[in-house]
Amino acid sequence: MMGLLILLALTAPYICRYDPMAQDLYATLKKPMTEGHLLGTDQLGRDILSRILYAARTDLSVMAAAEVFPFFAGTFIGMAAGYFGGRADAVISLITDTFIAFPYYLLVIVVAFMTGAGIHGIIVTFMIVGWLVYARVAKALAASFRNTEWVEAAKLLGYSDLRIIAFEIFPNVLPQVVVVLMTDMAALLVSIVTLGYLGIGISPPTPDWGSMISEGQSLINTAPYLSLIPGFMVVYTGIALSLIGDGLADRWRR
Amino acid sequence: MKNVLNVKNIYASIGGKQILKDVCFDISENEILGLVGGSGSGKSTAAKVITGLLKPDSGSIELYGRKLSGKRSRKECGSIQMVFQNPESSLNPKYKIGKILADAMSFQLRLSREEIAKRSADLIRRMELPEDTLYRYPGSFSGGQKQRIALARALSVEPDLIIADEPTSSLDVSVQLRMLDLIKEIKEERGLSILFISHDLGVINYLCDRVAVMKDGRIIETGDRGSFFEAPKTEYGRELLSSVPRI
Ligand SMILES: Nc1ncnc2c1ncn2[C@@H]1O[C@H](COP(=O)(O)OP(=O)(O)O)[C@@H](O)[C@H]1O
Ligand SMILES: [Mg+2]
Repeated sequence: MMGLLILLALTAPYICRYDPMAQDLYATLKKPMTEGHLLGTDQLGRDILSRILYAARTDLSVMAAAEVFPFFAGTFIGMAAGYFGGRADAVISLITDTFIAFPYYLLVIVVAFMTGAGIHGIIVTFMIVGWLVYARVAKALAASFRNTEWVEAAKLLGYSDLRIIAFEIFPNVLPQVVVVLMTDMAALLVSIVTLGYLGIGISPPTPDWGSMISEGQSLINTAPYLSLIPGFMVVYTGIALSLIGDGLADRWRR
Repeated sequence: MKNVLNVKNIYASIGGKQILKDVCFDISENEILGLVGGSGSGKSTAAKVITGLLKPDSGSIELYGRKLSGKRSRKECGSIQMVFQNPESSLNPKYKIGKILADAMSFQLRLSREEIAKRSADLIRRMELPEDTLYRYPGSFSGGQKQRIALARALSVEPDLIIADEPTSSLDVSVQLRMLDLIKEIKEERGLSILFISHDLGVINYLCDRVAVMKDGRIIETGDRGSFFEAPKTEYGRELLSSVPRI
């Protein structure tokens, strides 16, 4: 499901016959399934299929870019805190608790004002706060492993702490943090779209599902498909992500 | 016979509470020392100190007469290995047995791939484990098999001393007996020193050459198996003996 979406997003430039930003004022508000425009056109005559797929490119790549760093950093910091325990754990807990108490959207808006609206604001903000959930989950798990016999056996073999964290503990933490990753990506996608909708996220004319929904909103009675199609895409992606999470979790349960 | 391990005047505490008090004993080559004592007497703590997982407050651990420092070298780590009580958590669930053994050998002994493959196969056979053991994950083995895998991992790095902390206490009697025989045979084959921790005097009597009795964090008596089981030197020793049926 997700694979199909990513494939479509990646190949968008090859399958789309129209430039997603090209306006055609003679062909505005065409209904879906009309000749030449599978999903119709919007009020400026832009091809919706092209826009949807290009928006997928933008939204999915912002989502990925904003997740990669927090995922690895958070997981690693959390594992280290859980494994070493004591003071390292206390410091990390203090930081995560402080940050988690802070309203996320407020931070996004502050950063958006500092960096200007757009893709960078979202990515920067998420790098600041995104690692926290991973750190929490990884810390709890690593702490539960630190006194198990297989970790002690690894210490007795003389493996370094870094090696134990990266090669003994990490494989045991991975399934859970990946499930978190999927949930978190879905949440992040919703916030990217929400910000686009509010006009402080990815800014027009770059296609983004959020701005497409809000642009379509004024015509919701005459041309509901303008908002419904991008809305459907958000739901579709969210479901796909959570299915991936569940599937991986099942596979890794041993 | 040559002394392999000397434990001298060890004091150790956990969370500010003193657990071990002036613990002294030694183990020779090709010898199994049985460490007996009630639950909570400090046996596992003693094992932790010897392996270096817990730093003692004072006292020293010597291996072949050389004092082991706080930070142990790779070789020093490898020379003392352990088999734990709980088979379920002794092996990293995410790795196949072949990988667990290969990692240990390549890190400790720097062996070639072919040599590792050969030694792994030999060990698995010697531990009477199924042919396909190396290609399976820990989750698919029985408790007794897991303990023999843990023993294989310990043996794979050619240690001088193996500490076995109640390794059979969670196993069925027949499985337990086979494991004890294996330990005995391996000791003879390799001239190993073994510290065997148990609260089960029947097991100690069956397996050990010498016995040390621990009570409230102190070693209160040590002696040959024969003399201990004939005539314990201490009141507590007599108490222990009278509280179990003879086998
Ligand atoms: N992690 C720990 N935290 C606090 N006390 C502990 C811990 N581990 C062991 N102890 C205490 O140390 C004493 C000795 O425990 P242990 O060495 O496990 O005994 P044994 O192995 O002989 O049953 C017990 O009184 C126990 O309560
Ligand atoms: Mg114990």
